[in-house]
Amino acid sequence: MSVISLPEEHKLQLDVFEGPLDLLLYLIKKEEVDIYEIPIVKIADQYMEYLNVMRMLDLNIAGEFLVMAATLMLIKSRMLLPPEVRPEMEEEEEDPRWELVRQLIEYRKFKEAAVFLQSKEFQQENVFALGSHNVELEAEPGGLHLEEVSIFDLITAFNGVLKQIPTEDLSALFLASYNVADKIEAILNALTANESVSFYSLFEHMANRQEVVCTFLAVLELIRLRQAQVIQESPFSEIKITRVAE
Amino acid sequence: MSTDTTIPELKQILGALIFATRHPLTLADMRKTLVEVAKVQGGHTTAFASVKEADIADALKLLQADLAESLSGFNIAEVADGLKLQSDDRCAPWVRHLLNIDKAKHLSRPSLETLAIIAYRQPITRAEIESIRGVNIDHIIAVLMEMELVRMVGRSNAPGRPMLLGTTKRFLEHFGLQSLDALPGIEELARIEKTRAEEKPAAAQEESVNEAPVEAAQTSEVPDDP
Repeated sequence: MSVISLPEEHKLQLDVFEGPLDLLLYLIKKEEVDIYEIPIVKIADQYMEYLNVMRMLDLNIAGEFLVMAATLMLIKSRMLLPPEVRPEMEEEEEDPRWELVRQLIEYRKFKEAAVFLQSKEFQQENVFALGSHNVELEAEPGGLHLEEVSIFDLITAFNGVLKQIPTEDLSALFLASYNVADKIEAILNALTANESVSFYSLFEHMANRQEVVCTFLAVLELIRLRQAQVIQESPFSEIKITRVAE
Repeated sequence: MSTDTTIPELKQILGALIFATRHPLTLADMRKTLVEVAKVQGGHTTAFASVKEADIADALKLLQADLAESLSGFNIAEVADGLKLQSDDRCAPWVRHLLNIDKAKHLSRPSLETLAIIAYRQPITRAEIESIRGVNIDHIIAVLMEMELVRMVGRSNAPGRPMLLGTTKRFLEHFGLQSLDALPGIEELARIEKTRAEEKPAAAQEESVNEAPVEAAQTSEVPDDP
């Protein structure tokens, strides 16, 4: 994919707290592949694609993403070699994916435990008592704190939009001037008129990549500022943007 | 009807005690109160001088059943190893409106995941959490500590004596959990830690949850009053 570098004023310092394992588990789920038999070429390619989008958007992502990219490339190259010519650096004739699989499975258990905690949290917010419960949790400061929809869901949707935009000739890039602030205002206006809007409707009739990028960054910024939130009825279904109740 | 001269039933007293306290009250707290009052005040209070925790538990069951049956709008919930009076969750819309409370702020997924790792594997160092999540968590830990959901429970014997983290009583209250045992699959998920602990017993034994070191005991109480 071609990489657009963003002009200075578009840099937003959006912190992403998900890590490379989150992305891998997301891809494994999205592609419905067996975690014990990860099609490493396919998953590694997709991983790189998501990583490139995040870097293009200039999100603040953990350095561990790059370490994992290197690990995936290493596994990929080992898988391509027939077992008898693989370098004997590991103890046994182990599947080169095994260490990663073990790590993913362990982490996935904790993600399930987190889902349990979240359900208890939702249940608990309907219960009131004197004392302890009156102390509300403060909002987590900074960064993109998403509850139900992950940053990767958003990137999937964004990437889908981006792929439909024809690569325009360079002159269009110079002519068009879009900025995130205008897009934030446009989205807020749309949300004043409607309780919620679909993610894709925000990008309707857009033919310019820069405009698409600015619009997406505006969505992220609104989430960060808690002016908007994103919901998804079921995993991998359409994403909607809604107002945050005052 | 005059109740002045009637000796209250055990469940009445327990209901009053739970009503009057803000923090979850344990069976031991209640038994201690009953025994001490019997000793100090004598008279009809001596009826409960040798009450057992099992008696209290039975009386509480009756009280909980009474409350449920009377549709009183509140119930006695088992939270954080104790009991507390709380409103019926079905009445939330009205309570929320009256108290002018917005929908509560929720924890983000990365925070919940970090919290889950700490809850299941405590005591645990930051580095161990990072090796499970595969990403740096400094920021998240700072936020969770500020929210008093996580606290330092000791120090590991590993080089640099890194902080060992554990969950707080407020964690149990926030999620309405009676104890850590109420976490599903706690045995399975914690077992790996046990085998790891056996490999390096020095690091693990000092911080067993029940016998927290002194520095931990001092910080274990989460203030209830603002």
